[in-house]
Amino acid sequence: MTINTFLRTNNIEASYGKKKVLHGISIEVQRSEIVSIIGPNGAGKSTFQKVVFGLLKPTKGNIIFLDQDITRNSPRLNNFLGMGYFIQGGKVFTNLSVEENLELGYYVFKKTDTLIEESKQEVFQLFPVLNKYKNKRAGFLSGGEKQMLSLGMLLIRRPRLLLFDEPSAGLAPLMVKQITKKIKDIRNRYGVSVLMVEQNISQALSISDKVYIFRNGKVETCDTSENILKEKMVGKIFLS
Amino acid sequence: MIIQLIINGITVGCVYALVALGFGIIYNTTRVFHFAHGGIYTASAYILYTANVILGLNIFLSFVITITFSVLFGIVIETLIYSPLFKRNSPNILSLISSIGVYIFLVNLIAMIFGNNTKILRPGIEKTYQFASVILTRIQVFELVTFLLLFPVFCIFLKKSKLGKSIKALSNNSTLAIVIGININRVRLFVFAIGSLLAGIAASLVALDVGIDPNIGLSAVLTAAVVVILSGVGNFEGAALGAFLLGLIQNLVIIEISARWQDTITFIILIVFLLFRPQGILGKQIRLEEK
Repeated sequence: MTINTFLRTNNIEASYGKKKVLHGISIEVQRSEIVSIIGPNGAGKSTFQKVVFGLLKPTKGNIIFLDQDITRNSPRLNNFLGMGYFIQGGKVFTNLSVEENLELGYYVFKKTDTLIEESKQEVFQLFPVLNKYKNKRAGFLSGGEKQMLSLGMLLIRRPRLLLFDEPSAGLAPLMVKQITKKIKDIRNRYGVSVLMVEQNISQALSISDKVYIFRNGKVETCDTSENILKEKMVGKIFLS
Repeated sequence: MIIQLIINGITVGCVYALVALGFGIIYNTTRVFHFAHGGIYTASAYILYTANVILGLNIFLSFVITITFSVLFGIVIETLIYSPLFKRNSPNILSLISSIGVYIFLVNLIAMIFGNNTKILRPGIEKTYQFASVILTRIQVFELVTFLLLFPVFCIFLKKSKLGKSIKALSNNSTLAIVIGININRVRLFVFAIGSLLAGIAASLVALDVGIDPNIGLSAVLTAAVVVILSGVGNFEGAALGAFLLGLIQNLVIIEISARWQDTITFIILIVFLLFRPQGILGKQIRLEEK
């Protein structure tokens, strides 16, 4: 039986210390679907993603990933199950070479060397610039190249669900377009599901199948990108 | 005379390097200012003394027992003290204070059991070798050889092995290391094991060379900290360079001034570096966003 709902959260609540940030969030991400979370600052978008990945434990509710309850899982365990988390801005290990960074993405899984080589070539095909600089220290890459490397580190392990925390943060407008396009390419190529938090709303809407609008730690609206664009809901949410 | 002093500086540098490589790998990876490194150093020296002199075991067996205990000390301190603090996200100052606590506990325990006086492991005159005008004692030769054997192993381990790369990764960005699924608790444990192993080896060499008292660990750990700062924090292998620099300067200044000033010299060098080259000898100019 194939599982079509990759991720489901039921009534997630979470807090930082005494401050409650999420007030019962339920979302769903289907197979090969790109889902964006948008909303004003402080709506709990990134916090929610951290909860999904296991970086922050929810105080209430549960998370189902590929039919397994992962509510109490560590990030490490979620990695094994096929989740990948893209840190805001795209971080890499600046003291290691580009190639070593990619390999570290894989070491955790104790796969054979031929498999690593195969997936490495695949990533190089997707991002030729990484192949060009593979022996260079990752610290010397430009911002955009670091983003690609960071993405490559996740893709090399062929994840099922990718969580993006503001993939376009701090990038030049041209790079923003490029990385958004890459995300779509990756979805089409690998069939992964994507759950993305994004400040750049027009970019997010341009590639998403479904959009959740968060506000004050709650889901305010869930609809397709087209509908949201048509009804000009974004303006209402952000200006009201 | 001057060549002899340079050679002495180098052999001292070998020992400093071993302690500093251990201290450095722990500090760079975990950001724990592992003051108890000095405690492990002292304890290791006393274990060697107990095994070799009190129990009369032969020196090689005693050495193996010593380094086994050194590694165990490191693992126990990480497991019981640093690791729980780390999991609770405590600030680094807490691990430093706990570390000083462990150091004081160990040193006082040792003083209670063995007394405060200096103990000599090898009475009598050490066998020496003469090369032209330079005289080396047997233990000095051991110090050189140990360093020359261990340093390449240490470098290759960091550069080539998966664990070595994970260590470097963790030192660079611990959040990313967690996010991509590196088992950081295991990496930390290994780091403490390796660091303590190096401390145990260095302590054994020094114990055989000049004897032991309960306070030898203090100057060892402080020197290691100075060496790590001189060499550039974040640079694992570079600690060796700082160690030799310090060893040489300490031994060369005694041409002009009394050897009692050696520790003062150490800290004057530290201050000069902090003022004029805070990134250390090997510290590279890095892009701002790398920090």
